[in-house]
Amino acid sequence: MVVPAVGKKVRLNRIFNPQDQRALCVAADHGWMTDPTDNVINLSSVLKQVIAGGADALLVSFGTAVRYSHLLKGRHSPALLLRADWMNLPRLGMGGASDSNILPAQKFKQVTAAKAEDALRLGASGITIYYFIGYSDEFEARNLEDCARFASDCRRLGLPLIIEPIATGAMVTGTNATELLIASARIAVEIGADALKIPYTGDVDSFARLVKAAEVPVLMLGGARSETPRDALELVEEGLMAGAAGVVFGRNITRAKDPEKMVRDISQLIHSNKSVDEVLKQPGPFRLKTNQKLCTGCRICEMQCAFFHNGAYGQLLTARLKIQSNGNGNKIFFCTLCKKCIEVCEQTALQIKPDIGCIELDKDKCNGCKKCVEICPMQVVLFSEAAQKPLFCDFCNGLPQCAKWCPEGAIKLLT
Amino acid sequence: MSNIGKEFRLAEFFDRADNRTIILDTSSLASVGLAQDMAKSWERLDEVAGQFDALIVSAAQINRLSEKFNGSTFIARLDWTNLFRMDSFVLPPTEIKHIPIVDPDDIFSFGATAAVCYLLFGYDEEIEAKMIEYISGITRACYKSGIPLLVDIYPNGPKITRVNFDASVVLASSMMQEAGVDVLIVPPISAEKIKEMQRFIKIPILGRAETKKDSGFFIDNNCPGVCLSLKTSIEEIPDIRKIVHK
Repeated sequence: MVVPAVGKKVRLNRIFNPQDQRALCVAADHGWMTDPTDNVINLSSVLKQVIAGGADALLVSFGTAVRYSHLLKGRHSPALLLRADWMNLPRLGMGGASDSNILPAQKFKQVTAAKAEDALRLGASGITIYYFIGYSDEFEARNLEDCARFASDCRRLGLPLIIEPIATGAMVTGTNATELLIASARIAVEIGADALKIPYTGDVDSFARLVKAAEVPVLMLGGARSETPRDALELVEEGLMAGAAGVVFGRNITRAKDPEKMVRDISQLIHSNKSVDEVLKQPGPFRLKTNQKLCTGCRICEMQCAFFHNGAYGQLLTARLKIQSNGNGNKIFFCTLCKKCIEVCEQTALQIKPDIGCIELDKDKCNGCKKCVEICPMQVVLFSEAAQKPLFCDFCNGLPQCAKWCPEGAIKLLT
Repeated sequence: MSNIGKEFRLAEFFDRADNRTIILDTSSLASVGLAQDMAKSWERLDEVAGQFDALIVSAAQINRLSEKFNGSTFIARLDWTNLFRMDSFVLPPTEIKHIPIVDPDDIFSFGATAAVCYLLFGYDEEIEAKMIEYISGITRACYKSGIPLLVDIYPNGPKITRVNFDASVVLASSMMQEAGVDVLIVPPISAEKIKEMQRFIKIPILGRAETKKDSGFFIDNNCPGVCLSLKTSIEEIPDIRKIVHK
């Protein structure tokens, strides 16, 4: 059937960025299955931050999807993934989660809680269901029966099905856990998964084997919250190295100190191919803010700027900001990132440097026409006669000396 | 909320002036019959017919009560349990049972405005999983039809202790919100836990009250109403109404 296949493709493209076929999904369905921890209590605020950070998709329960549908409207909103089942694993103390203490469970249970039609009616771009392997043969068989039913419904409706294989239970040991996960990944695909949400196996090689065996996009899940943001980011980096198409992270994002930043950082790993070191070193983007009234005209800013760029004091004309003093006081001229230089450049040699936020010159493209120098309303784009290239404020590579040294606080750095 | 049908129907039993409600639940008669402690209230129900914003009834009660409570809002009980036989019923149950008795799609033909079901909590995993599956199904059916769904939380299972009672109500409420229910009815818990719930439970939380004192407690703690039972003394009902709709 052609139409449902197209439906799946269209909806998968809402989850996975069509440019790089990767996705950063955020799981916010914890209140459905575990104790109301801080990420559940502050769900509204967490969701807003996650969306602001630029997540590609949000995995939520039916109730949350209905209550927060207003946040998911619009072309640039994340795709909606509906959690179609419920289970008590975190309350069983086997899932590695330690947050579920109110009412512990003794017996493992999982039930379906929504149908594919419900997800479609809500405008979801996919559904997610668990596939547990290792608890008992009976449990697995019943679980797979549900998965197969969902797969059939999703095929009919053109709705992507993301299966989440989890190896858990008495039959899972340290020796067979990785192989079980790899096997379960393929089994889930054979049953009908269009993508997988699956735990990291612990090393790049085995996870790469899993990805290869799966033959569908593999999204790595984050599991329990990592100790530090770096740990979480390194997990993502390893997963991507192994060939994962992205992640479905929950607590590592929703319980982060700054969920929006965490999403942005992970997004840079996934969509900009940056390394963890690059992401964490990145101090910007910056902006300078001035308070002209505080400026005494001492010109220390010009001196320090010139020293930073030339290695010597005294060449104030080479400073990339200017102080103009007259009878009415002192005025600071600095790069306000008005982007007029970018607009005027016919060689498209200028762009905003994403990590710091300053103007960046592609020297190979620049033909030295000086149009950028002429158009700058602040007159702070200099021109190097020696190199025949313009010179721009570069925020001193992330530590603007003008802001650092201004004794009156007239120049401040905003991040 | 993005469901107009639900919004309209909720407004039928939440007073527009103060957004509060006072509900009487008569549906337990289907489980315990006309028990002695309820008989008096049942006989004198006419006296307080105008005091309630809505009545929780079994499907069969709607016919009989619709004359007595002409113009009232009815909330249909979708399920049945023998839980209430634990106290003083002539034949105490050996095992807790819960069964669906009304299909949510039939609600409109009864003339009901909303539906209500139990959440029996703290029992073994089998019962809990079945409850979750059942309520998830009803939630979706009600969403489709625009019928508000109330869930009546009973944390009475063997896993519930004095220590975890309040926290269990919070956990159950959180799960029910995620399931997509529209209104919760909770038993009396500490004021502190009610406040904790109100921080993140964004659907109305009604208190299950039997007396004036219980009702005052819930209203003082910013709950938008109470749900009374036939155990409530008829004499107290006008005063409870005053407490709810000050």
